[in-house]
Amino acid sequence: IIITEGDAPPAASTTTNAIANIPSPPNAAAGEVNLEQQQGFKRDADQYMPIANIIRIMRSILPAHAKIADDAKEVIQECISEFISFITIEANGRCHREYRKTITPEDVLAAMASLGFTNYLEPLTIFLNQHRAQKDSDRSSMNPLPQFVRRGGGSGFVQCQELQGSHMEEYGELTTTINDYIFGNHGGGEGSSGCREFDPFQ
Amino acid sequence: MRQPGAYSKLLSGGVSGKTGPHSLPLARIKKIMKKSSEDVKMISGEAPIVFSKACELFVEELTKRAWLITLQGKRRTMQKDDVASAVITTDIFDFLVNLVVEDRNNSTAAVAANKLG
Repeated sequence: IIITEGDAPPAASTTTNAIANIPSPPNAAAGEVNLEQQQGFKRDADQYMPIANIIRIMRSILPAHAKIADDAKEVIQECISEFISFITIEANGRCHREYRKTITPEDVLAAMASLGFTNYLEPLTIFLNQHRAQKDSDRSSMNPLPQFVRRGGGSGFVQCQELQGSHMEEYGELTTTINDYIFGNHGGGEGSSGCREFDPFQ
Repeated sequence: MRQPGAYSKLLSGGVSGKTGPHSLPLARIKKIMKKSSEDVKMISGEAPIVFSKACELFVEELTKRAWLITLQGKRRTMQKDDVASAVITTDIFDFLVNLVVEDRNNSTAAVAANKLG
């Protein structure tokens, strides 16, 4: 059986076409149409969040005995993608108006505020701040070059970057570990370039 | 070679796992963001991270509202129509109405949407 594709569905389909709906090619025979329709119901997984993750979040809310119909899961899956697109378009518009090119977390938060998701702002701000504090402590701890570290532990742990007060205590406890890392495994004056802006997408 | 992941665990052992692995895949979030519009070009690394949490909150809210409707129907299985009703009755979910009501002639969701105008 030779299956000929008609016009391929546009890759940049707008979000309102979230339900995968591949039109059958104009010259398809009856048998081929059925196969096309079958393929049409297969979701392009790339444009949705994984269903397992979604179910996990839902189950954390629902009572243990609750059941969820498959089509309910699927429609929620579609709603999430629509949500992301909806907010992103608003955030992107904000960027353009302010002559910026990069969508920042602040743009995302502002977009949510203006679109009515004000309830999310507080938990998201807390989450973002926690993440940034985590990242800062990661980066600070990875920067120390041998010449900046004094052996002997305690508050003798010095480094080139300004440390926030809250981090000093952590470092005090872990100085031995860090010193072992530096003087044990360190192959040479390796700089901190490896940890700048760790972007998982690059 | 430095292993940022392993090292950060050393320091964050005592911290709650909130900033650990995210519940939703960041690369896919970024992909959906890029697809949302032709002129979405650059996205900061942190934006998908905010979205991973935001989507979690979104799913939680939608699920809670849908489940209330399931309960009103004295059922234990959440149906697609329950989700649809939750969307229709929540103002901030207006952008989803077209997604949940595909057949305006049938289905309880369509009837409800029609009633709300």
